[in-house]
Amino acid sequence: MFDIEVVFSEGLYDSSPNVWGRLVQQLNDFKEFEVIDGFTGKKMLFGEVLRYLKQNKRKSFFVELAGGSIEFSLVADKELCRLDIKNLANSLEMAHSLIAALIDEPAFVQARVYDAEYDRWQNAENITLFEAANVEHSHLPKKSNGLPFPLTQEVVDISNNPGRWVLRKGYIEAVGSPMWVSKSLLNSLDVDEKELMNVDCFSVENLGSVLKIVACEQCFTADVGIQAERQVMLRKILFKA
Amino acid sequence: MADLNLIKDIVEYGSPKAREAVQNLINSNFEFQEMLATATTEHTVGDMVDTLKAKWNLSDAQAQEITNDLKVALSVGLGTAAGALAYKRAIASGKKQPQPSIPDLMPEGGKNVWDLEPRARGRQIESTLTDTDYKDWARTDNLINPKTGPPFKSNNFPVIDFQLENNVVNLKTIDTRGKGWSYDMRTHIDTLQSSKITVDGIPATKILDIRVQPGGLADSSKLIEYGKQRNITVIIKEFGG
Repeated sequence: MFDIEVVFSEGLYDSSPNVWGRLVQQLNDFKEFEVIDGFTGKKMLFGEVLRYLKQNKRKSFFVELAGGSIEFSLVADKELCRLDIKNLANSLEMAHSLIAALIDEPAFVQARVYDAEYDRWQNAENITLFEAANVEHSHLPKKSNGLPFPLTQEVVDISNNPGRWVLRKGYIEAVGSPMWVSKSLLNSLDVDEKELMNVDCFSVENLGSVLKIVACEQCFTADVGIQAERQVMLRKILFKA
Repeated sequence: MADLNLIKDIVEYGSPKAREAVQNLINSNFEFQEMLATATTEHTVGDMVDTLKAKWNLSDAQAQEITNDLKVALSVGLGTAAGALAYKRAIASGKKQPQPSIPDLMPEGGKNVWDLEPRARGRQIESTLTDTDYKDWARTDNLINPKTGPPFKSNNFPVIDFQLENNVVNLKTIDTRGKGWSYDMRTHIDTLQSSKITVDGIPATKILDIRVQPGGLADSSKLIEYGKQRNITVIIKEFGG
């Protein structure tokens, strides 16, 4: 499965039905499916979701369908909206078509396709996650979470993981392959577009107000070797990190 | 006259906040739960009051008072403080004798706190943690919200329970053996993430401290990742046992 993360500016929060509307055509395969509102447990048909969102003046949504989910929400402190499509796109083509339906939205900031398992463990800090999944963590670097008692916990230090993501004001510091970045974000990050276009090992496509970057033939799934190098390079160019 | 369907709609279609408010009422008012269970589409406020009148042997004056208050509750929406208050008044005014809808805060001799109904359980655990884990934190019930004025019960900072420096904590208890908790927690995290909370003008670190029953850690661990994606630090610990 290919998971998808899309970031919009926070102004889109008032238009969540429009976001859903953009996705509907791409999700035609699921039109006969029953879905569940992940906030209430209410069941409905896929075709009823748009009316349901409008009728209830929903800003956030969490729609569970076919073992996956489509989640849209505001991260207020970071001044961004995020759309997460999890465990639904079974091909890179489908992921592409979903993102293609969104990139002409004026509030679009960035998007990426990623491998869910790789992303999960690259970003897992809380030891409970490892223990709940019976995953060994003793070899991983640790640090304090920095919170006062009674919330102090030792967590995994992910600050050097090539696949880490960090919520920033207005965007997410994350890399993916493929990924899409708006030129307005590139401008605000002071990224030299030409430098990006000239990286030999990246394929960069100009889509107008958005650049599509392919840094690896497949989604990143490893934190070593050539894949790690590509992730580090891409992060450095885009986020100076 | 308002239709009982309005209440059911609030439960099924309402905003997360409204749903949470009604869910709290359902949890704490056996009478209300019973009414919902037996309600049909033909029921109106009048029918509901007739049922209550017969059940509690009310006078006409008492019945009229309940009718008025329920109308207020329905017209302004049970999700609002005024609506919830009106509903509570309606229920309270109909009681001939004090109803044991909210159990004593202290569990009966030998009774496990996890055997209490959810609201009483939450109060019991919060009370215990206020005197222990959070004894050095400010309890927000005692703070003054400049927007709402002096503290009144717990409505001055509805989504925060404790504050220390730039950290604000919302405390929740979950019995993962029950149903619907994942929906409730997603709704709750959505409320937290879409709220801008600042301390001295600086965005606060929002922490959701969840206490689960012994053995409930693994089931609830997915909320850690869910919260992290939304800039909410989720800490889960077992309580008791």
